[in-house]
Amino acid sequence: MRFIELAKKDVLLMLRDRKALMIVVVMPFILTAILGGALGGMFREPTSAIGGGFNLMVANEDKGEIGGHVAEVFQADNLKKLLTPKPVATRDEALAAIDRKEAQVAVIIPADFSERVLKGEPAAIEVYQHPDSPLRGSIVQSIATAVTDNLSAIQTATTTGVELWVKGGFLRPQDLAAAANALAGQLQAVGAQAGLQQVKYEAIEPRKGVSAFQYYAAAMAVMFCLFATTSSGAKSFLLEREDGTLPRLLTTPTPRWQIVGGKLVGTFMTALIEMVTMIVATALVFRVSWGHSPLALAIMILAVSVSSSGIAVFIAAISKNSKVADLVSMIFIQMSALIGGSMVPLSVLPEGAKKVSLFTFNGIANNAFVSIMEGQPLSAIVAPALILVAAGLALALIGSRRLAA
Amino acid sequence: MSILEVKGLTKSYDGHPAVAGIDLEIKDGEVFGLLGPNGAGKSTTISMISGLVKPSAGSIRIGGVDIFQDPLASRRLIGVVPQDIALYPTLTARENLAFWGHMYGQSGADLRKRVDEVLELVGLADRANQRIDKYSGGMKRRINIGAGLMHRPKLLLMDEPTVGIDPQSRNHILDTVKELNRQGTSVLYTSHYMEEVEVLCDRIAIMDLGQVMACGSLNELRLLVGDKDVITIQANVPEAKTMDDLRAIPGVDGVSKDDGHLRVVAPYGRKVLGDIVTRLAADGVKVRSIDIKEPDLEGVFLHLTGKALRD
Ligand SMILES: Nc1ncnc2c1ncn2[C@@H]1O[C@H](COP(=O)(O)OP(=O)(O)OP(=O)(O)O)[C@@H](O)[C@H]1O
Ligand SMILES: [Mg+2]
Repeated sequence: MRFIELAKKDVLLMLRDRKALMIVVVMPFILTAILGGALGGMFREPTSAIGGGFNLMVANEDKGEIGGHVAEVFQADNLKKLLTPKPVATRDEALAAIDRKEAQVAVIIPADFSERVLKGEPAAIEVYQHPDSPLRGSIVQSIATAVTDNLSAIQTATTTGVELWVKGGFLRPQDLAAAANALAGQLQAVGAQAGLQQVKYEAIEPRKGVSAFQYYAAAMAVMFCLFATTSSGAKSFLLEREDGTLPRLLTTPTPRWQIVGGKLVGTFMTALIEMVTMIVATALVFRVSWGHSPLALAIMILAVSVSSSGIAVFIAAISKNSKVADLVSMIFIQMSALIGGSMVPLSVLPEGAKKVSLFTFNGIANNAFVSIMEGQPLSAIVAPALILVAAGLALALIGSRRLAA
Repeated sequence: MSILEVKGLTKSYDGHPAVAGIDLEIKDGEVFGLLGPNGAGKSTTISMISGLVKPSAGSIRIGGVDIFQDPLASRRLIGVVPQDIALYPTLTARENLAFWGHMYGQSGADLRKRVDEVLELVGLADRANQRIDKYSGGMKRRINIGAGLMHRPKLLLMDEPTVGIDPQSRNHILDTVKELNRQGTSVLYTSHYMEEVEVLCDRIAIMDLGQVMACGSLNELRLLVGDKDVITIQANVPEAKTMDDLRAIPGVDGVSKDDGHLRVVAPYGRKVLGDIVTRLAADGVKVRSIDIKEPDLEGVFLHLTGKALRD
């Protein structure tokens, strides 16, 4: 059949195109490494490649007692998986440790911390981070902010009380220390809660038991599958029209349906090659586990390939020329990747976006692959696979009818 | 028996006729030239014959088959060599030819044998396994032709196959066309180089502004200008008396002058040349050079349209 020869030619052309290969094979791989590694801290069980949690220097210079309680916040059990606190006496020691890269983040509780809290003045906890660890820094920063926010809430509620007591003679100045202690107890509870919230926030997504590398390996495979089909698959129909090889094809005794069929098959082959390459490469290099069900994995590879081919053919069919097709593809890929959680885990997105993501190509595909990685039963991927295949076939049908016309 | 029969072929773009009702007939075994300046409508005509552009009106029969009634059958008879190279640059010459062979329904050992034959024919057998983006312009053009030959077409449509290439590749292409014709292929050859059409074609149609101005063999076309020689003499411009003296010579039809050139039209130039030179010497006119020309296609085109074939 001539459409097989046409498809073979398209695959050969893709393999000969070094630049395209760099983009569709090397890029997703690098992005998986970067995103899987850098955002590792946002996942509950960071892989060994990220080296577990990170070291946090805690320098408590506070002359009072509240600083000690704040320092304890970072010792909380529920933070253990995320970070290892290293108490030191001074700010200089803490910063030196960061310089030596022994720790990535430092928290400094200033000398006048308790004094300011008790006077009702704003008191701040300082957070320093190594430039290589911006994400970890911001995690610690948000815990610190939670602590001080809660602290000032308690302050306004109770300091006024303490003052009144002193003024009204209910409380002698020498009892002030005891009052501060009570306050600190309250603070510890609040602080622990703040830390807990923080960890919850970080650990909710992507899904239980999936590492950052797993998540991004799937997300990048899906995203770049779409990229491969739209850039070197169906778009080549438009390029061939522009380069004169399509008109030449039309002068041969090859029916139009074979020409369009060849493009469809070629696009589908491109998608398959992209998915299989990504899965094999991430499994070998990053030791990414793609679950234990080869059947489920095969079904999803086919489903994603069918649907991304359909999308690509449809985009080619509605685009006037290859430049328009490029633009439409880029917009679609970026949107679907962003909303579908391919760039940032869904947890970081607002609630509304999470719901919308379930209707995006990337969202459906990512979720299904994560299900396979989690070891969920085959039934978990039946619905997503059917949706992807149905949508892909529909788009391919509409698109190829337009192209063949 | 004619391999191509075109009647009343018309194509208009937004009311402007690119091809305005032309008739063409190519006999079996003929090399037929379509000569015309840029924008004459040559490519549009070829595109309609190869089924790429739908005519606004008219009929096209290839090998007796109406191309609109049985497009696949008529396409099997034609090989198309597009004006712009239509190949896959990252594939080798062999891969390109094999691909186009597949598109004509060839396969297996037959196909491989034909690829070798065609490579030999276009003279690129030794570079067969090189990607064609590494080829020179002329070599690409030769593979571009080869791709249209894979299925041994009865009629080869060639749209300006020698545009912008070196003389060596051009000569090779002209030889290839002659060889194909010797093997029995009919050729429709489009060009705006009159020299090519003169040496290749059995019959020629001269096209301008979408119309066929004249059609026939080279000699038939020459007769249109009359079988008169043109003598061009470079000399210091003679006085009116000398011009009258020249006109008085028996056998001279007309004399004209422009700066530095004296043009004498005579049915048999060589016979009157002696008289002309004697007369000029007697009048003291210094002759720098003399040239006698039979009318060529350039002259025919000038005669028909009043303008030069190439600008
Ligand atoms: N697709 C098109 N849309 C509008 N006008 C067109 C189109 N194709 C050709 N024309 C016009 O038709 C006329 C004939 O063009 P054509 O390409 O057939 O000329 P040609 O003889 O092949 O010229 P050249 O020697 O430059 O190749 C030109 O005026 C051209 O502008
Ligand atoms: Mg042309």
